[in-house]
Amino acid sequence: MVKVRFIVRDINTKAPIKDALIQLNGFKVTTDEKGVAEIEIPEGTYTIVVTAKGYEPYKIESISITEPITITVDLAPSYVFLIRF
Amino acid sequence: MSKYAKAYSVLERWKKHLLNIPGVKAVGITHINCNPTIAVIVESEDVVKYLPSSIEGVPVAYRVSKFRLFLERLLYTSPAFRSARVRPVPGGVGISSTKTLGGTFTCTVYDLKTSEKYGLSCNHVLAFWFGPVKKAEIGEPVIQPPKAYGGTEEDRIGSLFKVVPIEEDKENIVDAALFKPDDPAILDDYILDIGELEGWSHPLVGMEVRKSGLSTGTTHGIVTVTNATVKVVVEIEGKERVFTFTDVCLASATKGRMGYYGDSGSPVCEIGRAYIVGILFAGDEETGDIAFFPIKNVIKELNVSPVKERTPVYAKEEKTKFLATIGAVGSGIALTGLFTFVAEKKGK
Repeated sequence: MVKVRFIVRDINTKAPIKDALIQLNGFKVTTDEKGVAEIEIPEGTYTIVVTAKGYEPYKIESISITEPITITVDLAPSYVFLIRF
Repeated sequence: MSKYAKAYSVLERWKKHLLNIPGVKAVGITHINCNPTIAVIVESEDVVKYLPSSIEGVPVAYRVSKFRLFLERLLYTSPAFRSARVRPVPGGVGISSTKTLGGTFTCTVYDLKTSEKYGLSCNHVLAFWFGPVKKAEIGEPVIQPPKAYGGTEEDRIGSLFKVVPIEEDKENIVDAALFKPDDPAILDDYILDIGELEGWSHPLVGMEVRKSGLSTGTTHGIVTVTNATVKVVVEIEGKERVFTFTDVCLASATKGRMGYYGDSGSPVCEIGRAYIVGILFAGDEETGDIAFFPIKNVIKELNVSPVKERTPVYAKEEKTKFLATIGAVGSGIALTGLFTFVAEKKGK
């Protein structure tokens, strides 16, 4: 198992983003108020997807994770509001 | 690339990831302020914090709804004439096999090659072939009224003929099955409150539709989402399993609810003309929203047509255009005559 640490921030202000959902294939974890999330996963190749309200999602395809790593993701804010229909 | 093509391609790239967000039930395309928008159906407001507001510049909108198949929980709210024995059998009344509880008879359909007559409804209404489970085998008697409303083998109208199985590990495009009537005359081409079908068309966002079903009768609504991929939870042998349906449309009632348990199989038709657009197969018991698959997928999967006269729809449209042209030309001649008359009068 490998420990992966994520830091999710606003691309412009570098402010931490709380409640960002990080998907690594079938694994999921959410960030705390510091924009940080940690998860232990088996070594392997992953597609990482980060989503958060108010931001464009972010995807990293086919990243090989074999040792502990910290990944910083800067999300770009959306210029539209999420609306209910 | 047009904004529509872009929205569809963005949805295709991201739908798997959106559906993996816990609590997301469906994703598709809707239109908001004339812009194609990615629609995300969530089971509660708690999920909203994980949803992006836009994806690659395409706006995202959400709706709270819990989609389930409308099955196995008939509430006996059906109007008497839809749950009673009726011959010949029109679309919109209750049917089942002897191994299933019941749902709605969609309509009579005709084999595209032989023109042979069959009856159409949902797989889960007539057969229930879900994953490893098959409640009814080919040849099983189909009865009207349905078993849930007291139907027995004495009410037999035909036998199960063809079923499109629903699998767990693929994207299903229909929930449909055919039965062969014992006597072709036992099936009516008429659908209750809709009439005899004149054609079929494809559902679009904003289209006004009506459905004719066993439990809630005839209800009206608006198509809100198309091209949706929906995760439907079905309890099989005491265990909840998730089945995925794609190319699904969602509709909401203009007043009250659009559908309920027992309405599965209901024909969903245009308002204003007897054109079928799809077949209801699932919905949300709280909001009354419905999910239906387009009729074109049934035509493709089962090689049947919902209209006896296999004149292509465009031919009818051409006829209408021709009549409109004649009308316009006629009006033109009349107006020219009138103007000539007025001009002559003025000349005097």
